[in-house]
Amino acid sequence: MTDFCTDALEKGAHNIRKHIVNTIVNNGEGHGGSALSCADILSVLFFGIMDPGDKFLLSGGHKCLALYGALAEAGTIDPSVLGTYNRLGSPVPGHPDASKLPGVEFSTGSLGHGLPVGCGYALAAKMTGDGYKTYVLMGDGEQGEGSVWEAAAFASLHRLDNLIAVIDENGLQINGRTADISKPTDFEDRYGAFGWSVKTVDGHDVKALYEAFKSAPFEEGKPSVVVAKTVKGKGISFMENKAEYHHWHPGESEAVEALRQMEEAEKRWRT
Amino acid sequence: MSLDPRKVFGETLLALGRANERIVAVSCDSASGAGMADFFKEFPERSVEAGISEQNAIGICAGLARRGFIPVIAAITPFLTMRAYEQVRDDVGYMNLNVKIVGSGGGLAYSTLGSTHQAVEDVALMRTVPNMTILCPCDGADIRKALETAFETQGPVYIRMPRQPREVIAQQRDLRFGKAEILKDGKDIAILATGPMTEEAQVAAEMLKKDGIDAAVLGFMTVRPLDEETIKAYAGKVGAIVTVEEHSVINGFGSAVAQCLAPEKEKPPVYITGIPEGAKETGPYKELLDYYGLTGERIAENIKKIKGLMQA
Repeated sequence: MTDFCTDALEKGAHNIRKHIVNTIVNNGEGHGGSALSCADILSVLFFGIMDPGDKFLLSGGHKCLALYGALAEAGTIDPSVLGTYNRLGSPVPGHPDASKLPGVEFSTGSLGHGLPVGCGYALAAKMTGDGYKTYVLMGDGEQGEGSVWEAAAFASLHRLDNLIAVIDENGLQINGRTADISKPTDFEDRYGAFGWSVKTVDGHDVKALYEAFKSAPFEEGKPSVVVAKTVKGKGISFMENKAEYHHWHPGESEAVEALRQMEEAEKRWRT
Repeated sequence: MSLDPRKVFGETLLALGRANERIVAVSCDSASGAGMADFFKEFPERSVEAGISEQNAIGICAGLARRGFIPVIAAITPFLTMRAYEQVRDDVGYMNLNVKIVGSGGGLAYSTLGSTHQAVEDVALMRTVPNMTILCPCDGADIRKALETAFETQGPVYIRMPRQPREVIAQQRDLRFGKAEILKDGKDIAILATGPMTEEAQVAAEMLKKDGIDAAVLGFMTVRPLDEETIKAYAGKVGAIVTVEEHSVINGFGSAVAQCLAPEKEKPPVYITGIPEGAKETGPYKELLDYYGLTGERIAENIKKIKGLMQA
């Protein structure tokens, strides 16, 4: 990957973060921490990896501001629609709704639904001979749902190597550290034991993410999972690595400071 | 004449599968138990074994349906409608996907296996799922019609399958999707029944005739959408409506009928009969039906009591 591409993907991630921050500041609340942690992953997938026919399922539906930001940057939706976030009748509610917004492949919100549905998409492609790939983005806290592991076993048994899961491992969930709440082993070991092929990368290094996704399937006949080590609240210093910013209600001073930090970050592309 | 429900289901599914290559059968280690073994044998490339993982299996069905297939998933009723309720609601219902969910053995069908396997809350739950059509067949002819209807209907469909073979009483059937089947006209009381209770209601009506009670019998293979027109028409001409279902009296077929009639100014009393709260007893099927007052004889006894109440 050229530096130019790296720069474009970093710019894409920055723009996604800008949509997230602006929308939450304008609306007064929103799932900020985990949308910010997956912005680089979405930039790489939407602007570097996915072909037009590929499918993206946001299993952790609460990260939807990142998806809305990516869709706005991709030109799939008009960015002004984000101004209606959470309002009555809005196409951009607090969890993504496929019946309301173009570009949302499947409605999500309750955790642990995406990987089973992704298995259905991947299986359908195997049955019809379609070449599309199915990407499923999950959180690390979400791995506590049993349905994730039902699907993990199925994908492995049925050799769904057209299925690529991503775990946005920001290490935090609502009540604290994922390691303290729901994580008995490393995801690498767990997915490996379920017969998946695993790659672990820095989830904010777009080059590393790009290379990992580009090499999927990592092994023929096996589903692939990218474990992306991320920082919750990435990009806004006072939000970083703090569980309390899972759902962010910015006061005036936080709003001003967050917008200032986004402005500061943007200077890089203004020369 | 009696027909084995699973055999009829299996044969019908096979015939429909031969005619429509978009139909995919999904099993939760239930292909043989639910009557899909022949389909699996003839169409292995369109058969999916998801194993004992109902939440995952419903998600897989949703994904397959989103990609243009028509999945039919059949397994023991509580495992699909209760364990995987949220997947049914979110991934199939709200997404309005073309998935056909077959509860293998509704009501007390697994009578000896206890409350974990009996299903007396499934209709209540499926009634709350957006876009869900609910079909409760009684015997072989109904099952064939229900399955054909399910594949003719775009969107999610729940079929509540009976398990015990039934004697076919009415030889002339008038099975139409969304329409009540008037199995016997009558002027004193209307018995509105669904699923296997449709047959028991006919037995009850014959018994009541001897006591001078002229009971109409209406069969509802389609519970949702409910044939409100026919229900309201009968409400205007009988002294009482009695609903009978092999299901909890809470939020099932009877509740749907009551909900339909509640706004009517002139209406007879509606008596909802079924299983009071939870399926707590275990035993041979017929004995269990009797215990809950759901055999023809017991339904007739109940109706005589109701008639007594009305005259008091």
